[in-house]
Amino acid sequence: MTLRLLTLWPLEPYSETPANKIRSPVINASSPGKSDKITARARIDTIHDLIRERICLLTYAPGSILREAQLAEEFGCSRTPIREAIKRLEFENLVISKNGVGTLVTEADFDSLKDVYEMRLKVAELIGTMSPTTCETALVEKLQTIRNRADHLHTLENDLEEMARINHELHYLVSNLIGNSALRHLYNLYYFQTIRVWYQLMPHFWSEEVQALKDELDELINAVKRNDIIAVGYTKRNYIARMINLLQQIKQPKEVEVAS
Amino acid sequence: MHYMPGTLLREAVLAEEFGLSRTPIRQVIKKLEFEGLVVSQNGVGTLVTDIELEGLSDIYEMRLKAAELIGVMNPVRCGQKHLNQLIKLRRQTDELENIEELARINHELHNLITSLIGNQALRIVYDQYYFQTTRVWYRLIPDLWQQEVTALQTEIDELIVAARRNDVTAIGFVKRNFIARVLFLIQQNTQPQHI
Repeated sequence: MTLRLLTLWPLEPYSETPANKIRSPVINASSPGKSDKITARARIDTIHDLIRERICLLTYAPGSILREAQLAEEFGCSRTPIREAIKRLEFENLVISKNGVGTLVTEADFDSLKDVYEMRLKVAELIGTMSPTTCETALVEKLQTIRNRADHLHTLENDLEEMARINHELHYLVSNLIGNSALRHLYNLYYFQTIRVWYQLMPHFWSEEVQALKDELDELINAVKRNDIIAVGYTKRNYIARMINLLQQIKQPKEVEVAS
Repeated sequence: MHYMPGTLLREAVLAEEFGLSRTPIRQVIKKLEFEGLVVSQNGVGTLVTDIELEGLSDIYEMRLKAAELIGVMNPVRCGQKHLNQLIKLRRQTDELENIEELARINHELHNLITSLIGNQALRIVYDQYYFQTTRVWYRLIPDLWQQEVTALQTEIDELIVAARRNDVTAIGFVKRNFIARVLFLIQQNTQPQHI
C-alpha cells in the first residue's frame, strides 16, 4: 500500500478552549510579564498545531524524525518553544522520543488504537447532550460548500488531498459545535490520534469512501437545518462505526493470505 | 494538598528528595502543566494552580459520563481481591481522624476503581479528570467533616454490594452518583460568593 504525502494547507480558523481553564494565582495580577507570557503560549500553540497538522496529513510519515534545530530555523524561533510543542505532541501519542535517536513520529495502526476508536464512538454520542441546542445559521452554508466540493472528487491519484481536506474541515465544523470544553478537547484528541489510520482505507475503498462522505454530509446538513445536534452526534458516531468495520475488513484478507 | 495552590515547586529540591537528576523531574512537571495542575511562569518558576469551579464544571460533567462508561466498555472482572480491598478501606473509614487519611482512602479507592477499567483510553481520561477535580472536594471537607465521612462510608458500602455480584456497571453508576453529589455540594457552597 502506498501512502502519498500530503502538502500542508492553511488552517481553518479554529480555537480550542483548553479543557482546564485553571487560572494561575499570579497571572491574574497585572504583572508586567503578562503579555509576553501570552505571546509565548500562543507561539507554542501555533507551532504545535502546525506540526500536528503535518503528522496527521502524513507530510511527516510515521517513523520520520523531527529535528528541533531544523524546525526552529523554519519557524524563526529558538529551540525552547519547539521543544514545548514536541512535548505536547508526545502527550498526545503522536510522537515518541527515543534515547539516542531523537523524536520519532509514531506509527498509526488500527490494533493499537482500538480502545481510542471505541471511545471515539462514545464521545460522538455525547455531542448532542453536552452542547447548545441551536446551530449558527451559517453552518448549513459551510457544510453545503464542502458538500459541493465533494462532488468534484474523482480519482484517488488526483484527489486524495482534497478528500482529506474536506474531511478535516468537516471535523472542525462539528467540533466547534460542542459546548462542553472537556468533551471538545477529547473529540479533537481522538480525531488526531486516529485520522492517519483512515488514509489506509483509501486505496481499498476509494469510491465507497467518497460516496460515504457525501452521504454523511447530506445527513449532517439535514440535521443542522432542524437544529438537531443530537442527530449530528449520532451521524458522526455511525460513520466512525462504519469506518471501524471497514478497517477490520481490510485486516481480514491479509490474515487469509498468510494462512495460505 | 501538601502543595497548596500558589506553592512554588522547586526542581532542585524535588530532585534531591527523589534522588534523581533534574531531567526526569522536569518531565514530570511538564506533564503536570499539561494536565493544568501547575503553571510555569517566566522569572518565577512552577506554581501550583488555583482551584476554581468555573473552569472545572465542564470537566466534572465529563467525569460523570466517564464513570457511566466504566461498566459498559470491556471492564476487568471484579474479583475477590477487589472485594477484599474495598472491605479493608471501609474498615479504615471507621477510624478516620484527619483529612489526610480521608484523602488517602479516597485516593486508594480511586486507584481500585480505575484498575477495573478495561478500555485504556477511558482509563487515562478517568484518571486525569480525578486529578484535575479532587482538590475542590478536599477544600470543602473541613466544614462538612462528619457529613463527608458518612458519605464516603455509604459510597464504599454500595460499592461492596456491587462488587459482591461482580457488577462493574453498578460500580460505575455508584461512582457517578457520588461525583454528582460532590458537584452539587460544590455548587451550593460556591453560590453565595457570586452574590
